[in-house]
Amino acid sequence: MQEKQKQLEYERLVLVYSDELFRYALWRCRDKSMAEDLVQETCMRAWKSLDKLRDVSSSKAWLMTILRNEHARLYARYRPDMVDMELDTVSLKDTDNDTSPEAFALKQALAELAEKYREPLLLQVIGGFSCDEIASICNISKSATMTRLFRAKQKLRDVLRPDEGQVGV
Amino acid sequence: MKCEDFEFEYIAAPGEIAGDACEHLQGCATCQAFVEQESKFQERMISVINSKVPDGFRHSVRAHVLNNRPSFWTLPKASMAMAASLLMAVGVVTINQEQLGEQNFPIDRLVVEHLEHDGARSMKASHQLSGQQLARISEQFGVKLASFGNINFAEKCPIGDSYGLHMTYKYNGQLVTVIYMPELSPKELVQFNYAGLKGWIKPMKKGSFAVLGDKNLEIPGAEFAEETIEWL
Repeated sequence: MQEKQKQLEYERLVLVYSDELFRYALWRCRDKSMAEDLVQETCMRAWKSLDKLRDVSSSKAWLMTILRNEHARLYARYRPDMVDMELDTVSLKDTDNDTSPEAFALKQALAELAEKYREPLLLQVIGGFSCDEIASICNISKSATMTRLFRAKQKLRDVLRPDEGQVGV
Repeated sequence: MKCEDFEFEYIAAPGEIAGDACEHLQGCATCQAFVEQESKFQERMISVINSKVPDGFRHSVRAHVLNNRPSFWTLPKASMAMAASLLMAVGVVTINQEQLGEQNFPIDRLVVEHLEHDGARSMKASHQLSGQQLARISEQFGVKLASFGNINFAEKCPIGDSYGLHMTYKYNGQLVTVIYMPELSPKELVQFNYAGLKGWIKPMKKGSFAVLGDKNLEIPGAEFAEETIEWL
C-alpha cells in the first residue's frame, strides 16, 4: 500500500471508529487517561499492520480485536493498582457524563458484571455488532452470545427495577 | 413462538428481530407492550454506556500516529543507501502530478474529515453573504455560482493536500455543506453515509462538487451541481 493511500485509509479508520474505540476502551480500563492511551496504542498498531487489512468491511472488528489484545497487555501491567481502587470511583473517574443516581447505579452494575457478560454487551451497544459477529470476536457460539446478552441486561434491569420478577428464560 | 421466547430474543438482540419473532410481535399485544417498555430500558442503558468522547480526541489520535510513525529519516541507514543507489541507477525521477491525481484516493474521507474539523465554525455563521462577497471569493476559483442564495459561509479551505471552496447553504430550511474542489475529483459519482454524515461528490468539467450534511437531513440530489456552478 502506498504511503499516501495508507495514510488516507488510516485517517478514515480514525475518523469513523475512534469514538467507538474510546468508549469501548473506557469501559475496559475504567479510566479516561488509560483509555486514551489504549486507543492511541491501538491505532499505532493498526497503522503498522494496515497492509494486512484485506477486507475493509471488517475494519471495525479488526480494530476492536487489536484493542482487546492491547488491553490484555495493559491490564496485566496495571492490575496491581486497579484492585485497590473503589469500583464506584473507577467506573466514573473522569468520564464527565450523566451523573444521575440511576446512571451511577447502572454504571456500577455494569462494572460489577462478570467479564463474560459485560464483553458481549459492550460489543453490541458500543460496536453495534450482531450476535454472529460478537460470537466470532469472543470465540463462543451464537446461542451462548444471546444467553450472555440476555443475562447481562437482566442484571442491569434489576438495578433499575429491583422489585420486578424474572422475565422469560 | 411463545411470548417468553420472543422476550428472550428481543432482550438479547433487539436489533435483530426477524422471521418468527417478527410475526409473533405483530399478533401479540402483550409482547407489543413488552417491546415498548423494554425499548425505554435499552435506550437508557445505551445512553449510559455510550459515554462522552473528549473534545478533539479524534484529531489527537490521528496526530499521534502520523507524528510518531516511522519516517524516511528514521529508516535504517543501509535502506537509505540502497534507495539512493536505486535512484542513481534509474536516473532522473519525475513526479507526474497528473498520475497522482488519477489515483483512486478516497475523496469522501477528505471532505468528511474537513467538515469534522471545520464544520462547527462554518455552521455558526448566521448572516447571509451578499452577492458581491460571494462573487469575490468564487472568482478565485474560476467559477460563478448561479442562483445561489442562502449562503451563510464561504471560505477557501485546505482539503487534503489541495484546497476547496467551502460553503454553507440553506436547503429546505436546513444547513448543508457544499464544497467545490478544483483540483480533486473522483472518477465517478461517489455517495457516502458514515460518521453521522451523508453526501455525494460529483466529478465536474474541472474538479468536483461535494454536498454533505447530517445523516438525518434531506440533501439536494446530484443534479444540484450543474444547477449551481458556472465556469468563468
